[in-house]
Amino acid sequence: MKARRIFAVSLAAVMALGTSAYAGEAESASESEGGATLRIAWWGGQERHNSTISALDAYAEKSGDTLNYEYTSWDSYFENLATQAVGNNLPDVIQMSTTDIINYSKNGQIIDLQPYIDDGTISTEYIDTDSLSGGVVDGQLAGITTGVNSVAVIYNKGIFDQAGIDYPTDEWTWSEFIQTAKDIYDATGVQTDIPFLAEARWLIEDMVRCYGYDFFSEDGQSLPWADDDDVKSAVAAAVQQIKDGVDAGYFVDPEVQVAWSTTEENYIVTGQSAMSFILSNYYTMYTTAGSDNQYDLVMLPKLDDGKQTGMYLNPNMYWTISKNCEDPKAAAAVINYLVNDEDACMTLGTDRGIYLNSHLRELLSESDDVSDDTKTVLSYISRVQEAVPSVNPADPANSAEAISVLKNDYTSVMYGEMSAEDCIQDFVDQASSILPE
Amino acid sequence: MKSTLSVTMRRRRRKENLIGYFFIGPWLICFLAFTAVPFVTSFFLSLTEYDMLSAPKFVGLKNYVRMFTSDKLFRQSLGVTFQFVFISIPLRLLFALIVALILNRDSKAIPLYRVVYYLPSILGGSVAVSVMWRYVFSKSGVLNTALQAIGINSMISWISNKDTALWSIILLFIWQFGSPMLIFLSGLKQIPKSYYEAAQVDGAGAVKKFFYITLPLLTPIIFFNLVMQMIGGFMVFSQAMIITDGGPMNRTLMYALYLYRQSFAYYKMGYGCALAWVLMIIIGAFTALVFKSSSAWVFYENSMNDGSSGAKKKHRTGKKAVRA
Repeated sequence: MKARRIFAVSLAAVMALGTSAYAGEAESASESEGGATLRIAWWGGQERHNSTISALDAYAEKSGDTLNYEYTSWDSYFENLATQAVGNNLPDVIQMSTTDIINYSKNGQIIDLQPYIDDGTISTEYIDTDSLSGGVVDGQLAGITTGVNSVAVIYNKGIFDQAGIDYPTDEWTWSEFIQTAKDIYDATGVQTDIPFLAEARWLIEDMVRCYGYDFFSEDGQSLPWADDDDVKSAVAAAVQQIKDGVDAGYFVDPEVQVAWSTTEENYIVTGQSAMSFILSNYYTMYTTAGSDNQYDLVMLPKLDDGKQTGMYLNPNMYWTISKNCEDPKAAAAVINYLVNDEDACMTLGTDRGIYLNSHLRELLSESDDVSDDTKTVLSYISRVQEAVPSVNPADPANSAEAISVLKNDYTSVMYGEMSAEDCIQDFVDQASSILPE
Repeated sequence: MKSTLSVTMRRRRRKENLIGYFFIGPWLICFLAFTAVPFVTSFFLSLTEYDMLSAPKFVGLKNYVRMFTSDKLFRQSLGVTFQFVFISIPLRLLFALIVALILNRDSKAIPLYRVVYYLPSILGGSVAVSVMWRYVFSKSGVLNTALQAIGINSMISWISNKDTALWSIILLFIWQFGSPMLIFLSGLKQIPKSYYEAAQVDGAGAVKKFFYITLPLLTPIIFFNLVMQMIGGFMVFSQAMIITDGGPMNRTLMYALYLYRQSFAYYKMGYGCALAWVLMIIIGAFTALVFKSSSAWVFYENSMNDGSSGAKKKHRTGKKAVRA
């Protein structure tokens, strides 16, 4: 008797909720006469929130769509999304990270965007279609790249001048890099950062690319270079050269370098380091913090015996459309606005990476509102794109764990706990068991 | 007559029960929602592969097999955590006891001292203190500056040196001795003064008093503190996460940090749950061990009534007199 009453009450509650949900849908349907109602989600800091909201507000006014924003910080973003995915309640347009897009696409939570490129909703007039490859998962265009970045070497011009050494060029080789670091140290006592101590993957990926390999295989199950002993020994030799430099003192002590946590602590900012390997989207962060110094960007040095440059473009993040979206065409139009519109571009800046759209890049590089440092990054990315037109695909599903193995082994080499050969071999071995899981 | 009485009584009792349930309701609901249900769920998830996006896939004992056969980091993190617990817990308790003994005096400033010494414990778990710790123990940090001031030229970056990194976290943990100290302090206050007076008459010194009166009578408190601190020690997380992030070379990869990484960085929720269950079994085993051993070294006052009955009686009559 009692149980039945409880059941009745809870059923009534469910029904009430159901009708209210229906009411909500009915409302949005009636609004769609003037335009669609779309939910747009992104993570970021306050500055990104402000600029994104003002850009999207302008779009809403123009198009008659009703846009609702769901923005949070990075910390809780993907926990929220996972919960919404379980409840079939994902936002319509979702800003997606390179590490998560595969999971969302494989589980069918986000839809293929190719049809909206084919029908012209998302314009590719100024976008090199090769560069869209960064958002392809299993042959589907899962996301439109918001912008790209690349690996780079930032160098302190003043220290080069002081040492009387020419600035590096995009064509330099690995042994030239090592020699430069040594010469600068001998002339001025200024060290060079250990290349990518915090994320060795960026370094090793560039090295294997010099031999024409991708870092991960296309299916994400293996390392395509795992059985090529020439590549492995060349990479190990290069890593060993860094370790030799650490021992000789011209690279920074690893114990010091791993302890940097804020930008201001980095030796490249304090003027105690001549060169540092970075991701290009951090360039302005360093130049702002180290405003007393003059900096420039140059490509990573090519391994001496390598066949080609190891450089590549990385997608920064993506715009995706969820399977829960009722009006994907309207959502695709919003994405088109975000990646192709001049006004949106001037409002958003390069916060989500350097635009794929070449017209927008020109616009930014000619604008007086854009800082010189940002222009340096723009021209750098254009140089990289000329060298390698395609954009790296998103990382495979289990890559995060494999990458952390590499980071750890690489650090161990610099601490003198592991040999360079063991580091590369251990990574190859462990990746072969982690990736296919 | 009789039956109606019992009916009203029963009714009243039921009403009382309802009121009781009403009052523990909030706790009960939270317990079910945030402890009991996740507890059971996590066991089932530990037998699956679960990435939070697709439905969990049943894999049997695969997660546990992987843990014990091929996962190097599981062993590494277990080793680090044992090292941490076995070093830091005894030191923390010792420190807490010493400070409690110092503070166990009649002085008007004692409440102030208590607050001051308890402060690190309140702040301790917080992110801010861990960030501060980074600055104290980095190469150009406060510690090295202080060492330089007394003439020792230290160039070690304590948090990123492979031999000292774990110690910097252990030190932070010991520094947060406030809560065991307060418990020790209240335990010390429970020991009747008359024992010490009697010992004084017999000519016992401070050391003898401590070892023959204070320590035996404090064993139940030590026991309690040991169990609580050990459980907390095995689950230490935020300090390792923020100060060293498990590095360098996994020298500070605490078990809980590894569990977190598997679950939230690699999205292997099933494996994370399996790790959590193994941790629970480990903590359970050690707690059981301490409980088992307690009969050998923990003395409860009522088990040594002969010695204390006189004092107790005195105590009671004294109280009565006051009441009258």
